[in-house]
Amino acid sequence: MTQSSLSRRVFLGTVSVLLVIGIWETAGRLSLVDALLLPPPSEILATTRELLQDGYRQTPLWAHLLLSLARALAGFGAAIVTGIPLGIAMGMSPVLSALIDPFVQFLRPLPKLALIPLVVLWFGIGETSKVLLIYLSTVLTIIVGAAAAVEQVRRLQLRAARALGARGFTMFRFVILPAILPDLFVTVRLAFGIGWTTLIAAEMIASEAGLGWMVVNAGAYLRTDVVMLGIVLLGATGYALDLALVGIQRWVTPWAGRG
Amino acid sequence: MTIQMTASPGLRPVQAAPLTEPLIVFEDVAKRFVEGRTGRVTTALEHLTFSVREGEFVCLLGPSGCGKSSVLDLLCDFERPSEGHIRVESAPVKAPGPDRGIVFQEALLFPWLTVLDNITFAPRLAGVPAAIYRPRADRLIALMGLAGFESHAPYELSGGMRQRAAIARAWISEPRMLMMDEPFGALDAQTRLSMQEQLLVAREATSATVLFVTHDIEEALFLADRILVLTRRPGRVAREIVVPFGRQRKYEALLADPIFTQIKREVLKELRSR
Amino acid sequence: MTVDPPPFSRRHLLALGAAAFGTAALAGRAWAQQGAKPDVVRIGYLTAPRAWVIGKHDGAFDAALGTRVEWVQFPAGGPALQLLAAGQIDFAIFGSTPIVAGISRNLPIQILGSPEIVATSERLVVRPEITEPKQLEGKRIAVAPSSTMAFALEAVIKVNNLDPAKIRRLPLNQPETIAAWRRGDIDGTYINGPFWAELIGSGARQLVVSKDLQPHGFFFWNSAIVRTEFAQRYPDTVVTWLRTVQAQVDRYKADPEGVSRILAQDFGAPFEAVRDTLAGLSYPTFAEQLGPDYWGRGGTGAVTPLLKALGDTADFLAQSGEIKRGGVPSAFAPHVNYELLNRAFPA
Repeated sequence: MTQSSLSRRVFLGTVSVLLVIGIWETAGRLSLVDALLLPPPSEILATTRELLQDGYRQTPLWAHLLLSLARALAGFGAAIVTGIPLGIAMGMSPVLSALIDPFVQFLRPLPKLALIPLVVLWFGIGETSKVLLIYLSTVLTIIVGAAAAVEQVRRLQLRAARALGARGFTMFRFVILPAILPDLFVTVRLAFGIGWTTLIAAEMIASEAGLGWMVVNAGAYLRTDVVMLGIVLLGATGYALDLALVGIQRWVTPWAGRG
Repeated sequence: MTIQMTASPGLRPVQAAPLTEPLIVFEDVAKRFVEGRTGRVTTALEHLTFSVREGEFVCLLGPSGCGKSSVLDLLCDFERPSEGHIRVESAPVKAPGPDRGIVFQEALLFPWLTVLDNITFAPRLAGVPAAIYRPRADRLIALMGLAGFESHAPYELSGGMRQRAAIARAWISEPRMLMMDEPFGALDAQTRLSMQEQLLVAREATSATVLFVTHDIEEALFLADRILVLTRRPGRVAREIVVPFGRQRKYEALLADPIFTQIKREVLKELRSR
Repeated sequence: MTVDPPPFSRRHLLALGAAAFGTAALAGRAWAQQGAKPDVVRIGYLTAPRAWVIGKHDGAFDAALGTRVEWVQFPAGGPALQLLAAGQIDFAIFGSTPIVAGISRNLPIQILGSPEIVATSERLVVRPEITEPKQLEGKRIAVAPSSTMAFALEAVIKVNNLDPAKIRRLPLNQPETIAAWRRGDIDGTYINGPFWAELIGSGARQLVVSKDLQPHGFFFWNSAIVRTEFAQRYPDTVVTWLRTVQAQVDRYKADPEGVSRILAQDFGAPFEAVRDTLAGLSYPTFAEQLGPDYWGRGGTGAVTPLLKALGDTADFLAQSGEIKRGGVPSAFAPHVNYELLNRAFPA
């Protein structure tokens, strides 16, 4: 993408967001939309100011955000550290793949909410359970993605590498690993999105803080302003982290997606 | 330890290869594939017999789908023959290595490495000291017209440059034998011609044996010492042509040569009759 | 051949505008229609068995109201508020805590008495070594978030002069609470039936039942709720609905076992659990509720016990930061529809 088309994109995006906010606020002011159902931006802003000052339920807003980030990144990080090697191993070994795949495919589509009682029973109501839930929701996607990435390395590319003397470990280290990096990044981004959305389910386990908990708890008391603020914070943080991942991706695999 | 009285394979006296034994020998080779889905058997090659002597430049010429590429797959041990025998340097085929280079229709450079790192991939992997491979790399880079692009990424190069880098990558280990599978097929006419010229120059400098697969008669006539015309599937050698032009060739001169035109016509007829 | 309209046609914008205008017009249209009958009445009810829901089983509400009745289930008070806010249900019966939360958010709902008072259906059960409330300090107590139990636990702390900072309240839903108890992660829980029965069965000690807190002015109950707009348009339907609820409760009082058996079947719950859960609530008649011990008959400005309890609940919620103090009404009496209650059950 050229510089000018990028700045044009950013410009159009900004205009579109501002326009939506403007319409939203106007609709609220003119009482076209019930403020209870959709609090106008000005009310959310006021709530933000209030929560920044007093916190929500005795916890400062930044602490909610930080706690959620820590939980999500811990689960997500563990998923990367364990999921990528396992996925690669499955991609390289059809036997291992056949042994593990049934479990992965069974667990993957399972709604993680359904696992909460079991996770609590096995791991209690502490941080372990919350992190574990995020871990479970991301690691399976990463395993499948990493295995698929290995399987998608072109046979011809491997033949070319073999003709240059790559065998066994050197083939893995110097050919397969760099070849799957772009796909791994795509998988990791996808998994992060899933992990971030699982935050709400994870923080339903005996939480007293966290953005996900804040949204659920405020919803139970019809505090739609707090709910909206939480959603905005969840969305913005997720977006920012995804942008960071894209940045790392461009830096580590500049060749990705180019001839 | 008991002494083995009967001759076991390991104790058999090593037979010196006869001086006349060619570098590559195909003996009555057949290759059949079973299609995974339908279970239908396709015969790619049948009764294929030919040989290539050390230092020769041989072109395998044939229409698309005649199993030309299968020949290279067999020669690289990517595939096993269904029938017949293949010997390379008087021994059964083994996987290719730096001493037996291969260049494909696509450059297949490693996109995560620079041009220089791509070219020096094999010696670096083999632990060859930089003092040895670096001068070779520089010479090849100059020869292939890649000077100034050493630290570029493959995606920053044109198709022709990429293919030249791929050739340099295969050539840096100074292989005794180079297998090329329509390496210039995806290039435009002008680039192709200059690549062909550079290939001849490079080959002259190293005197490697080249087995070159192509479907382009003019290319084969321009490059080869000998041309093996293959039939349509199942492929086998239909005709052998010894190219009478010597080693110093100019494309423009060839075009004006009546023998060039005559051979071209005959081969065309040969290809069409099948 | 059909032509697909462009993704953002003028037609779409017009439709969008019309919809927004229609919503606005609807919100402003709130007039009483004498004798008007709605096409459908949507009644929300808890997933837990409740005596009055026996009327769902045999169509008693359909027959009495003379319209189609749709039953909508909700798992807790919070979701009930969301259903009311979205206009998806017209009537519901649920806990006083979420009701206060809704009213303080200007949710257009009205209170129609309190047909169910929590007596023994919600209990504080603890590890057997805890024998008196003072020992709760330093312990971990689980409680379902935004429930009457959460408020009741606060009442226990207040009544016994315990240090609130020394008691860790863990927000846990009931199934997770059972799991946490098994693992020994918690020392106790304020929980509703049939869950406490399960815990007591596995060795827990019962420390407090909600009824114990009534002498101290802490009432926990379920109120009947109607959407304000619905009450204004169909007052006659509301009156009939109230009388029908009373009739169902009367049926239960006449035959607790029989009604429990039917509800157990309908809810797919064990009969004993349903019977004990229903027995854990007390059921003052609407006539009794309109007496001075509960709501009074309104119009006097007197703050009757339940009106005061609403204010206390609001205080508690505002203090814990669940609701905005600015949103709490100065008086709750205007949020009780005394007019229709008096019409349904004249003195």
